[in-house]
Amino acid sequence: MDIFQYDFMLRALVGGLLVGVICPIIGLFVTLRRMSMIADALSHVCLSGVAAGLLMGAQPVLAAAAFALGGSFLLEGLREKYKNYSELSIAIILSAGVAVAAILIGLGNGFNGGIMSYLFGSIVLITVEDIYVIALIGIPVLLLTMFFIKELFAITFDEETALVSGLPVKLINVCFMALTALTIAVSLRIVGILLVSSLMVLPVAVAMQLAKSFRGTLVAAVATGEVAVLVGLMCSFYLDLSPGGAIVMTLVLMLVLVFALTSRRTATA
Amino acid sequence: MIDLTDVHFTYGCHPVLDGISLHVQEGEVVGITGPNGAGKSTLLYVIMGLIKPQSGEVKILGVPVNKFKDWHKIGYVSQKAALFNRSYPATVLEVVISGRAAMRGLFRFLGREDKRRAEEALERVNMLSQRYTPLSELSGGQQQRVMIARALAVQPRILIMDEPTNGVDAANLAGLAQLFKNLHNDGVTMILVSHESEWLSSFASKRVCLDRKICSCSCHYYPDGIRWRDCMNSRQEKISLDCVDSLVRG
Repeated sequence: MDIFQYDFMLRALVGGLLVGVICPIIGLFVTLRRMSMIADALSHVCLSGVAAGLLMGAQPVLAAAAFALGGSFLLEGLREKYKNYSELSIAIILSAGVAVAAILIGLGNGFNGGIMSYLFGSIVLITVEDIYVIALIGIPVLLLTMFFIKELFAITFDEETALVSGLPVKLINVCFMALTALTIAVSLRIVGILLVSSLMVLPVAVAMQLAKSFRGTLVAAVATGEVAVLVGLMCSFYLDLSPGGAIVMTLVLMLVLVFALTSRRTATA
Repeated sequence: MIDLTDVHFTYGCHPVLDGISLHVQEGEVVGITGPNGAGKSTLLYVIMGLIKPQSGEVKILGVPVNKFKDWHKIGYVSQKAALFNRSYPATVLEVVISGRAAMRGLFRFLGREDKRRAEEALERVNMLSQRYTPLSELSGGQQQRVMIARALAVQPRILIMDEPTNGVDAANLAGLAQLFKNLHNDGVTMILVSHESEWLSSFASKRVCLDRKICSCSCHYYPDGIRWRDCMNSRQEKISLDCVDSLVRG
């Protein structure tokens, strides 16, 4: 296939397949904890990180990761302050993220449109350096999540009982927020800041229609994420579409297909 | 097993626990009942160290609660777990085995031993045959049994349950009572909080009526024969007056 003759496409595939694994795993816990909007808030903080990186000549993905980490700790602190209105903390962080980004983009005179590739993703502009950063952050995130999986399950299912049982709930919550922030930062080069939360949530939405067990849901979500990344990148290459848009639309179509299949199965039964 | 001595706890200017002393012996089944806002759940939180009383002493297995480390010896069934996770994408076995996460320790995976213990716990609550059934396909009573199995999976010395009858219909209450009788016969020490005072009295070895203070061991009436509702109304008025008084005095 001529698609593999291009170095930029190979880089996009390597990066895409890695984030296609990490995003649905983190996304499953984010969804089950009813925190889907947190991914959106942190991705907007990433936008200010990218703008800061471009303005100061730093690696934009690394700068986004640093900003997202800071944002995640602030978010966790605000969630403690507004225990009964935790969505307020999401709104505060999201607004602050966009506000800082608007100021920085203004200061950088729009970076000659360069910020657009971070908003919607770009396969052509993914550099070898980007792939190193994605792997350097992404692989430890993946490993840590797998090591914490039983604790994350217990806390997600019932935080109060997990606390009584002696699990370090606060520590794991902070680590989870940090892992979520880093996942968003490494994914933004592939799917873009505005669509990264979709790669976390939509595969889970598909998987929850298909699987009945937690393990099954996890596997189905990862498989969905990988298929969507592959199909989306192919469409992006052959049809000259934005990769983020193509990946997310593939996920939406998969969800529609699964809804159709499951409703048909229910009707037959 | 559990010793509370003169425990006081206040939310703002509302005294919730007012000089509670309670001693739970090994093998006892203590049923705590009382009206809404009587401090039943707060008492459990104090016992489990989730909230710190303003004064008084709480000991678990002879150790002050703030120094207690062996939390795997305590099984807890919260009133929220079954109610808020009706459609959680997990099988019965996955939920029960998760109860052993803290016991296994960080960076260690759950293994065969954990699976065996989880299956034993499911056997005790008569749910082993449904271990691979999704949680969402169970009835309220069955889901509550799964939560109890999750607490039993760590082989606790003390089982603490907050409103275990939540979501359980009248037809399944007797089955749940029989389960607790069996656990009692197996020597499990239990503390249960429930509104269902008559149901509690069918198996509890000690009944405690709580309304800020421990009022009585007769769960239907206060010592002076006043029904809860009447007593609660007069109590609310007294608390309001106390609050105003304390605010005026600063």
